Amino acid sequence: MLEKEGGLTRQIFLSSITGVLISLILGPFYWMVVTAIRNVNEVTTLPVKFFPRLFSLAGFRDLFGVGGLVWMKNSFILASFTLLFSLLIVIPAAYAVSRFNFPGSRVYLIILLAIRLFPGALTVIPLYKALHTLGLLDNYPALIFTYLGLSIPIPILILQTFFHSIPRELDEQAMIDGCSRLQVIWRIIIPVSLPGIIAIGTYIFIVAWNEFMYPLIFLQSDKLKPLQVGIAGLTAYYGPEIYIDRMAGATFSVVPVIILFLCFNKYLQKGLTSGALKE
Amino acid sequence: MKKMTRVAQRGNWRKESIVPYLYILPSLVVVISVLILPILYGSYLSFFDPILGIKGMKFIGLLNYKKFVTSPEFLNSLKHSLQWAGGAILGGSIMSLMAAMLMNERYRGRNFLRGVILIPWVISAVTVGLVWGWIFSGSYGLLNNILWRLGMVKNIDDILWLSNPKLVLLICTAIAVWRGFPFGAIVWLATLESIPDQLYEAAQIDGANRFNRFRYVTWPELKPAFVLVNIVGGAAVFNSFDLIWVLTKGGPLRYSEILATHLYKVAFWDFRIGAAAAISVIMFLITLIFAVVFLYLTHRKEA
Repeated sequence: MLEKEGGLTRQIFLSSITGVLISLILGPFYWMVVTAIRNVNEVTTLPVKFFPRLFSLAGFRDLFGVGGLVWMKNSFILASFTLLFSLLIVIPAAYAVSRFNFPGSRVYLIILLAIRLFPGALTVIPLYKALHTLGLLDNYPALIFTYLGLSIPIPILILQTFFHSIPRELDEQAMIDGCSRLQVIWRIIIPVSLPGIIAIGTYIFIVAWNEFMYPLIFLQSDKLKPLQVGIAGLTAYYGPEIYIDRMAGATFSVVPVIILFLCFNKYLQKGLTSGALKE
Repeated sequence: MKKMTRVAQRGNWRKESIVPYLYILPSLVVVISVLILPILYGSYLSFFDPILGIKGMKFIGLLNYKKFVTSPEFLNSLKHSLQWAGGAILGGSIMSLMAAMLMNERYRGRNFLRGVILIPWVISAVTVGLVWGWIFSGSYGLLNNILWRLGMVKNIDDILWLSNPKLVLLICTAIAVWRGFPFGAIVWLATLESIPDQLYEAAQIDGANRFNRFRYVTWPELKPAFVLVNIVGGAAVFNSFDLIWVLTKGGPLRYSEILATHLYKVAFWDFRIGAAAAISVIMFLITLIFAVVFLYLTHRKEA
């Protein structure tokens, strides 16, 4: 705030709080990776050593043995299709809200805002019963459709704030030049608001990648399981191997998210702060 | 000439009145079919006694509510849900506010914090549950090993964090705070950054100390975002399922049972879909309170 940048005591004080906070944030991930690549005997030798000496990839071998790679592939399929369909739904909707003052637009936005307060647990029972009756359990298209309910409301709110900042004159000029609405969206709006698209794209992919309850309940076959359901189910095995297996699974599930995050953190933060709370 | 086309174009803009509806239609279809219809269908189901795997539904009126919503198991999990959401809001507010104010200062190291702070929030609840569950586990857990080495406990398994009836919900809440606080931190940081320095300077000239500057300059600006983040976060935690499911499955016994895990057990362990539907109706009504407050506040802000 006001204090000058200098001041050694101040710098030390702030840096040490930051150090504590950062170790609290990153520490668990260090422990996760260390356990995942450790020899299982080292896990159960007391006192536990904080730095690994004996390495082993047995955790990953176990994980692949029970289907880890298939789960990963399933997660990619689910998250990619959710991303694709979400963008196809979100972009026109956000465009409509930002460009047309149509009757009902406020009600529409209010519905989207309010929906965030009603998470999956409230709808999972009737959805399960409905999918069961329709014979759509264990069905990816149906599952992806239910994911869309989780993945589109917030991105519409975020993206329309990005679209709002693009001057309408650009649209008008392009339409005078003979572009249709969809061409305007495709050729002008999307390229200009690419940071916003990246922000919501990252968000949607992560939401779909991380979803646990819907696939746990709506899928039945083992070979269709996504990674989250798979690694949570590792609890079924016992013995000290379970620790390295679980941490291998956890590491496995974190990697794509961390890569996305490292690439797009800036966009994601900007998106969340610009649109997360506003109409 | 150009002006005329512009005018024609404006008219065109009006003629396109159906276009926005076409553009929002797909999103409405999704919202209605996976949110609004299920909630209506769920209320309908709550008056029946459909048992999984058995064909036919028997209308039983309010019996599901009478039997399952007044049961000790339900009341126990309701109490836990309120404790866990309340604890997460309280702990999360403190952590988020601290982190936001920290990142709002200028010093070396803050950019790194800004770079990593969202990580817990983007990681899946399942992963968070597995990793923290491992850290809090009995003899081989990291935390107990640290405490043991520091001599703070006599035996390494003196405290079994997640099997201790008194501690389990508190630990779960702390883990939920760890996962949730980054969101509040970055949203509030954005608010803090939007407060002009001149306001602080003016307050300082008027002789306001650090506390008064927070009280009279920061807080009024921060309050709307503060309340909204907590309502959204509170509703999310109140209804959340995955973190506790992975950590404890509601155990030991039912000491960390919250509504969502109870709901799951009624539906998929006891196969009572009607009873589970009744429980989700009650959860919906409680969440509705959050929503009404939320909408009231967002609206008042604009008016």
